Amino acid sequence: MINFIARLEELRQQRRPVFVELQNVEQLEYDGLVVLLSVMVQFKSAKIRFNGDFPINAQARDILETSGFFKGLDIPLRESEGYRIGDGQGIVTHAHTSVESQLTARVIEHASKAIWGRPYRCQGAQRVFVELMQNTNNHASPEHRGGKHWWVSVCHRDDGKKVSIAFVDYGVGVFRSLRSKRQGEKFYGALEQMKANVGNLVDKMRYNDAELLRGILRGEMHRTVSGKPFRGKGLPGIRAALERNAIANLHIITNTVSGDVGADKYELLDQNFEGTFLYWELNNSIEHCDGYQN
Amino acid sequence: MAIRIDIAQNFSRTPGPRSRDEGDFSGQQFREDLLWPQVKDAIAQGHTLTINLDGTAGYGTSFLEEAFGGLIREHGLSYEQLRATLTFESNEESYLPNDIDGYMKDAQANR
Repeated sequence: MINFIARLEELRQQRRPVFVELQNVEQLEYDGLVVLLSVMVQFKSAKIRFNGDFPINAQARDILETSGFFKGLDIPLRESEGYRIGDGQGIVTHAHTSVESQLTARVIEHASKAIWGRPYRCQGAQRVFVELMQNTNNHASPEHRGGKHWWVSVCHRDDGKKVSIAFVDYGVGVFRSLRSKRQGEKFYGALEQMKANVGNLVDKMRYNDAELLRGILRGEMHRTVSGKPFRGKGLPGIRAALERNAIANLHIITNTVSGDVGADKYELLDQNFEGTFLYWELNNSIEHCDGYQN
Repeated sequence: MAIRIDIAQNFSRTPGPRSRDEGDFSGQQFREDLLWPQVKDAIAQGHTLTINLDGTAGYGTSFLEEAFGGLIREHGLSYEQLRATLTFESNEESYLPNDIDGYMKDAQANR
């Protein structure tokens, strides 16, 4: 998928039209949808021709149709601060540049009705959304705040008992963002400091970006730089939400690292992904409490 | 005498980002429009101010840091003044008062 995104981005920058052949696709994962939809919107809003065909496989075709992908292909799109794709019957995709806490609260309320049959609040899940939207707004674009969209696709699965959420931004990614910090800025030189703190030489040599991402999520970067415990901010806060059972099955891809956070497995990728991608789930075992009081 | 702010009732059920230019219902907006005037009055009159954090959709950390750390950074209050004036209620997310205390300590340390 990362190779696919990199190739599409190359074509978009060259303003070349794209036709995505989907007819032989047999399995379409829900996390791939947000990528396909966001790429489509980026091409169309830039007025670059973008098209695709239908998968022959009925299930893959059904997922794409439900997502609003084909409807999106047929309508002109203008460059905008916000997008909504999908009719709300299972798969909906949103995009914005600002922090939209009301929107994500609605997403969670809608999900809770599907999961539990009544509206609940899931404050930990909301925190994950807000941290990610804030990160994209503040860090995804090196030129200016709010320069990049975040994208989120929400898919209700297994008769609504599980809700899959895929979040992506095409910013610079965690490592490029940290490595581009200038002297005097917060977290300048943090990755080097983390590496320097590793004990012996063998461990130091093994300490690659996959290990760094593990450390960042555990709050080690904050501790290294400030000497204080992290206060739940940013990526460590998202891992803390997973540990508190506020979300489930969290995965992350950024630059050349992919991580299954719950399994504590991080690995290097062959291809750089320019941005940050997260996938997580809401299900009937996550923490929640009663809906809003009047 | 104790004064009280219920964030969900008096400000928003959906607290947002850190600053006004990042989205609606920001920590900056909460601090400037609601929290600071009440804190100022409470200190002047020797009252305590209770902040009820329950009833919202959930908080981003930047909202809380900007609201409470911002009282030290932007309004010149000290950590000790805030500790003497503010109390927090959070039955739904019991870790929040401790996190907020950390934000205020960090803001004091970074003055």
